[in-house]
Amino acid sequence: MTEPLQSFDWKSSNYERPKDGWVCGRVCESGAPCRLGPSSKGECQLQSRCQPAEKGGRYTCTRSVVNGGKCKEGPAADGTCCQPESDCQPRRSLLAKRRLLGIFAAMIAGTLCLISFNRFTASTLLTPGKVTKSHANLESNCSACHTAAEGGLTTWIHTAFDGEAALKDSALCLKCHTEMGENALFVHGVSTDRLTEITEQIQAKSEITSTPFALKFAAFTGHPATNHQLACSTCHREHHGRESSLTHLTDLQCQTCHTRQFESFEHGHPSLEDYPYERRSRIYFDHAAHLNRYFVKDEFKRTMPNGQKPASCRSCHTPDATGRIMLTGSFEKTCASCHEPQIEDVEFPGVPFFAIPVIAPSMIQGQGEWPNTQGTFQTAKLPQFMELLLANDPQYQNAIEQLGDLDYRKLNNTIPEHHAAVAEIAWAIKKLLYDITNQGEAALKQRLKNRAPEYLNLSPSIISTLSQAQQIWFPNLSTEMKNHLEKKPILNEPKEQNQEQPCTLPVNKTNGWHLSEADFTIRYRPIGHADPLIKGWLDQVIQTKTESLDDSNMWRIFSNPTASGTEASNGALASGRCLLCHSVDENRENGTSTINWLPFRSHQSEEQFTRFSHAPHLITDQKNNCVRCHQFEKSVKEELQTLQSDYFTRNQTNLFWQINRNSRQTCTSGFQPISRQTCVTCHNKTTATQSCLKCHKYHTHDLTVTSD
Amino acid sequence: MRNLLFQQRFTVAAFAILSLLMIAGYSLFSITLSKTSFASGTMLLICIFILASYQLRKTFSFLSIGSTSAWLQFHIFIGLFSCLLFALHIKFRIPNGFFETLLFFSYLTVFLSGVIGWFLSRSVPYRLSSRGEEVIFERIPIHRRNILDKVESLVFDNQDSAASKAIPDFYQKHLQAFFAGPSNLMRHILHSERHRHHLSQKITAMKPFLNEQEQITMQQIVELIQQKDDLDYQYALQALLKLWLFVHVPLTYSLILFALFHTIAVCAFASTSG
Repeated sequence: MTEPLQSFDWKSSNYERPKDGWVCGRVCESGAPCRLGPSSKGECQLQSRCQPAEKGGRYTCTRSVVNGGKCKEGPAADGTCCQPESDCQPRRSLLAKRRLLGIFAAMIAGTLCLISFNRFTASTLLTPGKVTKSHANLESNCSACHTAAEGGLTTWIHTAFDGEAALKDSALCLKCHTEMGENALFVHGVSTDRLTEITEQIQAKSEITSTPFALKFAAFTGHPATNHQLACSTCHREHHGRESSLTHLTDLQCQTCHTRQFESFEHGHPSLEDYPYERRSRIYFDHAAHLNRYFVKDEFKRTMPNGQKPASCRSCHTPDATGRIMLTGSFEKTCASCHEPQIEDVEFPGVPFFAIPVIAPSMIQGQGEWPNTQGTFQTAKLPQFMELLLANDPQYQNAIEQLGDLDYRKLNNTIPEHHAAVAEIAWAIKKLLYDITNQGEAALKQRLKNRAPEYLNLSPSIISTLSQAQQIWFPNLSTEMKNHLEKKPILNEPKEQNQEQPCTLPVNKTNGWHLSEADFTIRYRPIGHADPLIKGWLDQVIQTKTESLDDSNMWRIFSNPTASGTEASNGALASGRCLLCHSVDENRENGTSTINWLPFRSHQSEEQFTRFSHAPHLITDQKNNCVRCHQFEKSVKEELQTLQSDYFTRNQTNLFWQINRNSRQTCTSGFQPISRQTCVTCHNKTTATQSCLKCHKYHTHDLTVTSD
Repeated sequence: MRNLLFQQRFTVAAFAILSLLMIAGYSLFSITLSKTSFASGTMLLICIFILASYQLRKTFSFLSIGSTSAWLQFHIFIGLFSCLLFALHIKFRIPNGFFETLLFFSYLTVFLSGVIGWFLSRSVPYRLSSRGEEVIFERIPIHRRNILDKVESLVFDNQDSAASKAIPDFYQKHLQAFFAGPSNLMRHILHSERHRHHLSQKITAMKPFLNEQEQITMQQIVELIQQKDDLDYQYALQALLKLWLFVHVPLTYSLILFALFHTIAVCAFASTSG
C-alpha cells in the first residue's frame, strides 16, 4: 500500500493560487518549488542561498523552514552554502498564457476589421456575396448603392441609426431606374391617396374569405414601410450571387401587406371581375356581328380579303414581340377590303371649309361682283375654317356685331339699315380670298397665328383650291380690291351664271379638296383611311373644344353613326366615319380628351397591376382556342348592334349622336368577362403555376406596349 | 438524485419549447417582407454577450450573483440556443463574402470547442474519480518528483556492490524516462492500458532472475509505477480540461470583435428600416 500523494493538512500543504500570473520555475523543471513562489511581476522571491552561521567554529545551515528547511548537506567547510544556484526563472501560469493568447487573438481580429474597413479593400472583403448579373458592373463601387460608403466609421454608425437610410439608398437605385415614375417608393408606385382609393374599391367588390393561419399571425409583425414608403431593398435582396433573382417573392409575402388575404389563386382569390375588360376598348368592334354574321354568311364572302373569310381570331390578332399582347392587325390588312369604300363614300359631298353666303345684289349695290346671289345657304354659320380665318378681321367682326343674332340662311332678309354691314361681310370674304390667293401660306399664318396656329400644319393645303375658286367666282377681284382700298367707285356687274351647268371641279383623289359652283362651297372629302387632314382637324377640335364638341360641325359629321346614309339604313355604311371605330377618352383629372387612333397606346401610363401573356396560351394546333377564354356574351343579340349605347347616346335635343367619353366604362365588345375558374383549370396547385407574380406586377408604371 | 433528474428534464423541455417558439416566430416573421436577418442577428449578438459574461462571472467570483454551476448551466443553454439562432441567421448556408466567412468559422470554432468542453466537463471528472488519487493539477510536478525520488532511492540506495545490477539496469533501460516526466498522455486520454501491460510483461519476465530482496524492491517499484501511471492519467485528463479553453476563450474575443464590426457594417449597408 503506497502512501497518498498529497496531504491537505494545512501545515504540510501549500496554498495554490492558480489565478496567479506566474508559477515557480522549479516546479516546472524539477517539481521542487519553493513555498513562496514568484512575485506578481514574475520575479523569484526565493533566497535559498542561505548565509551559514558560524557557531563554535562550525558552520550551520540557516535556511528557513519556509524555504525548505536545513539542507542535508549543510554548508561547506569554508562556510559557503551548498546550494548556491537554487533560485529560478518563474514561468507564466496557464491562465496567464490563455490571457495572452486571448489578447493576441483579439489583436488579430481587430487588425482584420481595420483591413476590412479600409475603403480600398472594403468592396472585396466586406461584400456579403456577389451581386446579380445586371448589377455586376457596380459591384466594385459600393457608393453606387450605399450612402454609407461615402464616409468613414462615423458615417457608418450614423447611417446605422438613421431611420431613413434605406430610403436614401433607394434614391440611389432610382438614379438608374427612372422608369419607375415619380411615386416609385410608394407602395405599388402610386400615391397614398390613390392606393387608399384602390383599396376601398377592391374591398367593396371582393367577398370576404378566410385568412390563412400563418397570415393572421404574421399580421402582428407589422409592415416595413417608412412614411408610407418602401425601400427597394424591402423586396429586392442583393448579394445573393450572380444567378439569384431580385424579384422573387412568395405569395404569403405579397399578401402580408394586403387587407384581404386568402389561401391561393385556386382557393379564395377574388373573382376577376371584368378583367380584362375593366375599360372600354380603344377600337369599337362588334365581334358578335362579325363572327356570327359577316364571317359566316356567304353574302359577305366577296368583300373579304382575296375572297377568304378569316379562319380564326389570329387572322386579325397576332402576339406582339413580347408575346404578351394580341395586337390588332392594321386597317389595310384586316378592315380595308370591306370598309375602305365606306370611308371613301362617294355619296358624301365632303366637309364644307369655305362657302359663299347668299347675298342679293340690292344689298351690295356698287360693291363689285358677288357670285352667290340666288339659292339658299345651308347653315346658320359660316364653315368653321372660315370663321377662324375671319376671326381677326376687325371689319368682319364689326359687321356681325351690328347684325346681332346673325343667321346666314336669312342674310337676305336683313333690314335696309343693316345692308352696309352685310356689304362689309362680303368685302371681308373677298379680302380673305384675295389675301390667300396673293400671299398664300403667309396670309394663312397671318390670320391663324393668334387664333389657332395649330391648324397651319394640317395638310393637304386648301390654298390652291381657294385660288381656283377666286379665279372662277371672283375673276376681277384684284381690280375690285384695288378700287375698294382706294375708295374708287366699283361697277356692279354681276357675272352671269350658267345655272344649268354649274362648274364643279372633280374631287382630287390625291388631294381631297373640291369646289362646287352649285352652292359656291369648297369641301373636303377624306381620301381614305387615316386621312391626315380630317385626323389632324379632329385632334385639334377635341383639344380646343372639349366642352362643346357636339356643336362642332366637323365633330358631328365624323361621329355620325349613319354616315351619308340615314338612321334607317345605317347598316354597313356605319363604319365609314372616323369616330365610329375610334373611341374617345376623357381624362377626368385635367378634362382633356383624346381620340384613340391606335388600338394600343405606344406607352402605357395607366396603373397596371396585372399582366397577361397571350403567347403561351395559344396552342398552335387549335385554331380557335381563343374562345376557350373569350366567350360571347349570351345576352348580346346576334343581329348587328351598331349603335351600342356604351359608345353613342342621343344628345339633349335628340337630334344628334354623342360619343361617350367615359374611358373607364365597361367594355361591350360582346365577350363575357373571363371567369377565374377558367384560369384555375390550368393554374392550380397541381401545376404549381398560381403564384401572385405570375399575373400581378408590383410596379404599376413600368410597362411599355408597342403597337403595329 | 431525483431533483437532478427533474432539473435535467426541465432544462431539456425548456430548451425544446423555447426553440420551437423561436423557429415558429422566425417562420412567421420570414413570410413577411421584414428582414428576418436583422431580428435573428440582434438576438444572436445578445446571446454572444450573455455567453461572454460567463467569463466575467468567473473573474468576479466574490460577487453573490448565483452559483458558478448555475451560470455554467445557463451558459450551455444559451450556447446551444445561439447555435439554432446562428443556423437561422445564415439560413443554413455557408456565407459567400470573405468577412462573413471569417465570422462564420469563428463562431463555429467557438461553438464546437464549447461543445467539446461541455462533453469533457461531463465525462472527464467521472474518469478522474475512477482511477488513482485525485490531485491538484498544479501540484502534479511535485508529486511526480516525489515518486521519482522514491524510485531512485529504492534503485540506487543501499546498493551492495556485490549484488546484482539487474534492477538498476532495468530502471535505466525501461523506467527512467517513464518516471522523469509525463508519459503516455495520449494513451491515457484514449483510455488505453497497453503501455502498462507491456511494462508488466517485462517485469514478470525479469522477476525469476531476482533474489528475494530484489524481488521485494521490485514489488515496491511496481507499486510506484502504478502510482506514477495514475498520476499521468490525472495529468492528461486534467490538462485536457484546461487546454480546450485555450481555443474557446481567445476565439471568443475575436468573435465578439468580428460580430460588432459585422453589426455596424450591416446596419449601415443593409438598409436598417427595410
